[in-house]
Amino acid sequence: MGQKGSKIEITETDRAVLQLKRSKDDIHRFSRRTDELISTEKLQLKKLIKENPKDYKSNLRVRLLLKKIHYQSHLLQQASDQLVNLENMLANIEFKLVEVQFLQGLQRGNEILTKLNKEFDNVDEVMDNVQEQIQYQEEINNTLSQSVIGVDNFEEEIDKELDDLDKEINPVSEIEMPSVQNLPELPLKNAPLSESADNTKGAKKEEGDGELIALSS
Amino acid sequence: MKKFGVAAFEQNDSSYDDTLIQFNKQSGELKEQLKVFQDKLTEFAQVHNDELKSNPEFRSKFMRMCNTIGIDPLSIFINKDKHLFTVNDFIYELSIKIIQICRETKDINGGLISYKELLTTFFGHLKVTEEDLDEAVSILSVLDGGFETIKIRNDKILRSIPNELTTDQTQILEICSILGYASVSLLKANLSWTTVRSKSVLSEMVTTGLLWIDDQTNSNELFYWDPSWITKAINQ
Amino acid sequence: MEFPPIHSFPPLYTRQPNKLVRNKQLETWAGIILDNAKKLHRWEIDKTGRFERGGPSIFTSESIGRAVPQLFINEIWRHMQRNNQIILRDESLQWGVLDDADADASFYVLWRPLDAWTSLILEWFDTANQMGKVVTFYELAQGDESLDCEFHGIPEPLLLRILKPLVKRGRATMLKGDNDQYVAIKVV
Repeated sequence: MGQKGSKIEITETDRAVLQLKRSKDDIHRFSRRTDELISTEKLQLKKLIKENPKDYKSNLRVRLLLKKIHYQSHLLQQASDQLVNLENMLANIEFKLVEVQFLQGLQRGNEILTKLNKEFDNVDEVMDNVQEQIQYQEEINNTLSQSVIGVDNFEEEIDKELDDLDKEINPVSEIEMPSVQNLPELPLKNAPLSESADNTKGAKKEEGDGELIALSS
Repeated sequence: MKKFGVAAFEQNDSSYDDTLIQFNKQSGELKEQLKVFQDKLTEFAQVHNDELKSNPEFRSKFMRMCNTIGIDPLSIFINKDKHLFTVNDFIYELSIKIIQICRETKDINGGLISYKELLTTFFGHLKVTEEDLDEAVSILSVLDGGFETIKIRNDKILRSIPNELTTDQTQILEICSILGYASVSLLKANLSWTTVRSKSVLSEMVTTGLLWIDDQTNSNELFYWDPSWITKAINQ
Repeated sequence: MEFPPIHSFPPLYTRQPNKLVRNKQLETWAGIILDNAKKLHRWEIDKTGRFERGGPSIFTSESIGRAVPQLFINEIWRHMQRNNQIILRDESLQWGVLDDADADASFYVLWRPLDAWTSLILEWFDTANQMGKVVTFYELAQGDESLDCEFHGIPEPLLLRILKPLVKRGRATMLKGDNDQYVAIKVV
């Protein structure tokens, strides 16, 4: 379509269609003329009836004219039928042409599909290839991540980083706890309470001291 | 990448792109320049508003400048509710239309057009009155086009040519306003002119396009018709 | 026929000596002819300005008793021919035929330019789904399918001239009937 210089083909179907259409045109022309004729004759008839109001029924001319009109109408009807016939034939031919085109289209489509399918015979090869590529990439990934930080210290490093992060996020307030280094010495031998009480007190105190010491370290 | 099927048609032929770009650039530049001009003119109009209001010569020069550049003077007033002249938009537009109409009909009527024709044929669909036309003409008379309203008997006629009508010519048109035409014998009978004078003025008016000749009269002479009769005849 | 007010202006029927005025006069007549051809859907007019044989001439006004003389009518035809508003019906004739008072000549009035007709009809082929099908000239001009179209009723010889460019462009080919004349066309 649209190629310059290529002549447009006239097929046998085209010639057949031309014949049919010419007939159709002739009938159409005939129909039009007859229709006009009938109209003129009807007017004539009315005129005649007006002129002979009393005896128009027996008037030969009038009767003849009416018969003529009837005959022509009959011809017109036949022509009309023939016209419909021809139109049907044309419609059929058109449909056949469309059918043929449709089948041709399908066929061509099939051919193309087959050709394309052939391309996919190499699919497996291509797929394996892809798999190899992926594996290779993973290896590279691993090598890269290993060589940067050493394997042994990796987990510890991570911990350290996390701690640092934590400190950043939750800053601990540096409250100066009073130093317990220069506190006066607690008298060791006090008014003895119950031994157990002393002991516990003492123990507690010691513990308390110990605790204090631990905190300020 | 080559496309197939319908998509192939979407491929752009890039060979015209360069020219297109050039054109677009140029047209953009021109638009810019025009805008600058317009702005300058508006500025000018604002600064010299008072002078433009009082000095008609200045006004006419300004209008001429606008027209030469191709800027519609009306467009300068889009953003303002104040106008240069103490008239409104309507009269302004009317004046411009009148100029157009006169230009278009000059070859048919020689530069004379009747108020009647303006009001019925051209402004029939608008509510334009005789007073509106008078006002428009008073503005137009500022231009050098020679716009003037004259009276032929009881009809108002707009002249849009530089030359004024002579008394002789006016008298002939007055005769024409009765039957639509004048002839040598009519002039001799009604104005007591000589044949020579009649013929001379009549042919002069034909040469300047003010009268059309008619040689299919029942008499032996030519009739000289006034083109404003064309519209007059409608309402008869 | 419908006429503008100037059609009742007696001087319109006399050739004006003033060149500018005369130009306007020729233009005015051309306009009147084109407008009426379009309104009446007529494509043919004869040398004397009649759309129908035995009908009234467009160049005569009974009401004012004026008629354009044939010499000036010819000037009007030449003006219209220069502006491609009319073409000679008989292609074998030359425009010199106008000077022959006895010669019969008629024109096709192109109230649309030729190529506009070509485009219009080509469009019809598309919208009426007739591409790639054989269509007779009679069908195009007189058929029921084209009743609503502007070109319905167009004379077949004019149709032929309108369609020829399509063949030249390679978009269509014509078919002959039994009388060896072109009667149909197939457009792709």
